[in-house]
Amino acid sequence: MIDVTFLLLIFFLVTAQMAQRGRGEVRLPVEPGEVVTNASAVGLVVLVQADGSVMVGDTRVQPSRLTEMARLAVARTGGVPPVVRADRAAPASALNGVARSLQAGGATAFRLATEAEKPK
Amino acid sequence: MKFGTSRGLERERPLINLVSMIDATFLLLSFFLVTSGSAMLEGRLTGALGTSRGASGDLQAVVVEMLGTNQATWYRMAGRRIDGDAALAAMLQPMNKEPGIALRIHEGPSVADAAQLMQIVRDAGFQRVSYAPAP
Repeated sequence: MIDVTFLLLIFFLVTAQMAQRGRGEVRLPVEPGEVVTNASAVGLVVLVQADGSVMVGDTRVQPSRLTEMARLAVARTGGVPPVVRADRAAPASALNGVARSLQAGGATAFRLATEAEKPK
Repeated sequence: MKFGTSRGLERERPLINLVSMIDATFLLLSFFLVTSGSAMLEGRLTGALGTSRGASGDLQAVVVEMLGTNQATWYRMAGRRIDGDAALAAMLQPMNKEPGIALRIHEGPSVADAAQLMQIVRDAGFQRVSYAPAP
């Protein structure tokens, strides 16, 4: 019983870590925004690292590739606005570049992810 | 005289194994702590990807520009320089919200600054917020 329990505990801890890594290790801007209780993102999720590099999942993407991915995501989701998870220290020019690529791909809006609570 | 009843009662007392119950309890506690930790702290700031005409399209939206560096930012609205978030919020508050508002962030500020501007216009009551990337 104890063995199985610890096995399950380790499994959940490891999968949670992997899920967190998939979401990208970015420090989101601290603003309340519209609080979302369900973090499961629908549609395209774009990561902007602190150095301005743009990633989708674990892959670094160029603007033209991001435009193509946005086009596919818009067609697949019926226009669900992509979520941009940008590091708070990233230059706004990187966010502008992402916005331009998304716009070229047919997205009519994007949602900038924020940290709704101030870090303790 | 023999007093052997207590030993007999001990033998019949039901045994409850607390180990497995504590294990399961800690497992559930850990699971809920881990899964709920990252799910409830996020917010979203929505920006329509339009032009400087704003999200509504048919009405001329006010354009707020953000300039400066990530150390010191300032705003420009209708050709007028505005220093400080409070001053910008005070100017936005009495404005008509119907046409919407367009934000243009120039090179220099950070993503945190851009998010702050989006939050200011949202707090001022603008529902139609358009994000117009600076060239």
